[in-house]
Amino acid sequence: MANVKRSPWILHYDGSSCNGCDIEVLASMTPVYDAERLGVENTGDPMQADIFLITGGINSQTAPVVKQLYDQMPRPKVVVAVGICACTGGVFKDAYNIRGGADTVIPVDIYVPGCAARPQAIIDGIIRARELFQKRSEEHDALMKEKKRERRQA
Amino acid sequence: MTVIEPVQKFEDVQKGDLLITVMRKRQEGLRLVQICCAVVNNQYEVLYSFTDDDTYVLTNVRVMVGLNDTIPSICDSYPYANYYENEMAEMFGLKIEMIDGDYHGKFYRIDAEEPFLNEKAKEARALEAEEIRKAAEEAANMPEPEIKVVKKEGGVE
Amino acid sequence: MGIQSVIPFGPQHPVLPEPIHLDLVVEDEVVKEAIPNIGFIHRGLEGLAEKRDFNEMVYVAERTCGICSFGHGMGYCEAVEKVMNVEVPERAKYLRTIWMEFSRVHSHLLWLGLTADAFGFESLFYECWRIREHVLDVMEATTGGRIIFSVNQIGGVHRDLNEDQIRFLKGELDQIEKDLKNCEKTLFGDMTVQKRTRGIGVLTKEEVHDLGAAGPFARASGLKYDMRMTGYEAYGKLDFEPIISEEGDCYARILVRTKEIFQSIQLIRQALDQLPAGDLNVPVKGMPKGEALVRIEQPRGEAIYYVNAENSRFLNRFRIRTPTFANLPGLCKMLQGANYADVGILVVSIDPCISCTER
Repeated sequence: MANVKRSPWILHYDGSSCNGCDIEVLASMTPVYDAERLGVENTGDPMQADIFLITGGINSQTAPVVKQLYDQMPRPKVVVAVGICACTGGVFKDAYNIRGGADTVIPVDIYVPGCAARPQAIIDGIIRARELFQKRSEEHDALMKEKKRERRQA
Repeated sequence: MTVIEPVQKFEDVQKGDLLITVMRKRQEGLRLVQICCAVVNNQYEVLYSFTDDDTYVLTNVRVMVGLNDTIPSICDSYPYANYYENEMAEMFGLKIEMIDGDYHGKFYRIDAEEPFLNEKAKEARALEAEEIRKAAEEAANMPEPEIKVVKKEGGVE
Repeated sequence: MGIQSVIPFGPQHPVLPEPIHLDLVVEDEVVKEAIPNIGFIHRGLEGLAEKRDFNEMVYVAERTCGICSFGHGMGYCEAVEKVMNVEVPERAKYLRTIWMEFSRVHSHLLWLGLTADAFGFESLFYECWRIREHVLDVMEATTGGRIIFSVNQIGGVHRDLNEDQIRFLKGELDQIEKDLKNCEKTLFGDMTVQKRTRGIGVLTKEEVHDLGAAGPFARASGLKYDMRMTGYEAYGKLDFEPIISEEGDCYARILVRTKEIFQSIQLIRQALDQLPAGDLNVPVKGMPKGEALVRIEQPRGEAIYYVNAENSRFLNRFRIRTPTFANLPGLCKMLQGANYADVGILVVSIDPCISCTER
């Protein structure tokens, strides 16, 4: 594991899920599995969140909500689709009201399959998200420095 | 008090008797537990289920409704029936009038139009609507009956 | 007169585990009216009954809701078994009862944790969910799954409990009971819990009857109605009474659900002692034809399963009436006249399972 440089916060939202993956996400944050020891914290505010954990498929009611939450999160951000329903639509793929997985609305970086996804898999997804977030925020920092230099020279 | 396997009663009523039957159930103190709709033989079968809180007996009232007919809402007797009725109206296209709190087909706001009504039933409904329209036209175009006034000679008849 | 404003609550909110949208008409911090807007979790799984073989529909029915998963699978199987006149063996009935009661324990512990989180008691939230992990260890050891079990099939169950598992189960039950007794002192004795829940969201017995509410929500207001008294599966041979309270406020609901956890632990112990030997399932031949209505007691209340079949592999109609659908009118009534600060705890006190409601 890389040096600890960042402490990303998690925003968890349930798209059109059966709630199984959501309670496993919450179970990963509580004692016994305890993802919070990695420094991630479950926040309710999208403007303070860095990692977006989305569960469940997408229907036409949920799509604008998910898009708005994604847009409200500041860059850099990472999206993790938890559970098979968020990856592809799952067992409800041919139900009349489900469009598909989370990638029909927002770009997804990490897919965690399972029905319901086990806490061990979710923590694995969070660790990879953390590393990806670290990489992206370093790129973002470099970009900001470059822009500042250009502005000073101009 | 344990009631092992309580009785389930089924009553078949006509559309016209629906409201009075439901009012009687309300009078007896029964609680509405569900309203379910199914498409059987190109007709809507609407099942109203009531339960008795003390004896756990389930009374089911079944109404067969044509695909183009309208049934009244039972919201006067049971105000919370509007959720069930909105759902049926949106999913099956069942026409219910006078719902208290009508969402006008936007309860679940789904994309599909009447998803539980399959193609066969939709065709049957269109055919029935056509027949009803033709019958109404013929009735409108029929000539008016002649009224003859007969005067009787002398005295009252 | 104050100015009225409409404040949207949800679908994304820190206190809500699932998306539901309520338009709250608020005047001077007091809620005048609440209009629910649902449809975020509607997947249309009842429509999948026309595309899936009736044997495979169990897996879809189970995924209606992750918390009440076992109950949905069991209710679907019971309804189809009633249509096809299949008699489930005694051992399978007892096993279903044991797993159903474990499902009830895990659901109530989950709810206790979320309620504590709703009024800010984070340490109690963590403690309840830690105790719940014991239940999930038992489910994983006996069925292979933590949340979705998939042990029900039409005709019985397809997993058994052996001696080692039963010993492990009994040990875990003792541990859960001991841990929960420690929590009980905090739940019922702490001043902050009392201040946040006593006298909030009161509904009388007549109101609850007129609104058609079900489950612990109705039992906390004095309505004595528990579907387990009708003796389906193995409940007819177990000895218990429904737990009711007369006050009808949020504190009464916490009391009823906590006492139900202890009652469920007793029921599991009784069922384990009476567990008969025998087959796990019976073979099922042919197609279902006819209709049936089955009612069971889910952790949130009475759930009704209606199946209509016409001699084909695919069912004509499969419908679930879930308890939260019946409790929604009660929520809207409770929110009228409530303080805006109490909205979070009132919404959580009906134990909302929106994925059950919308299917």
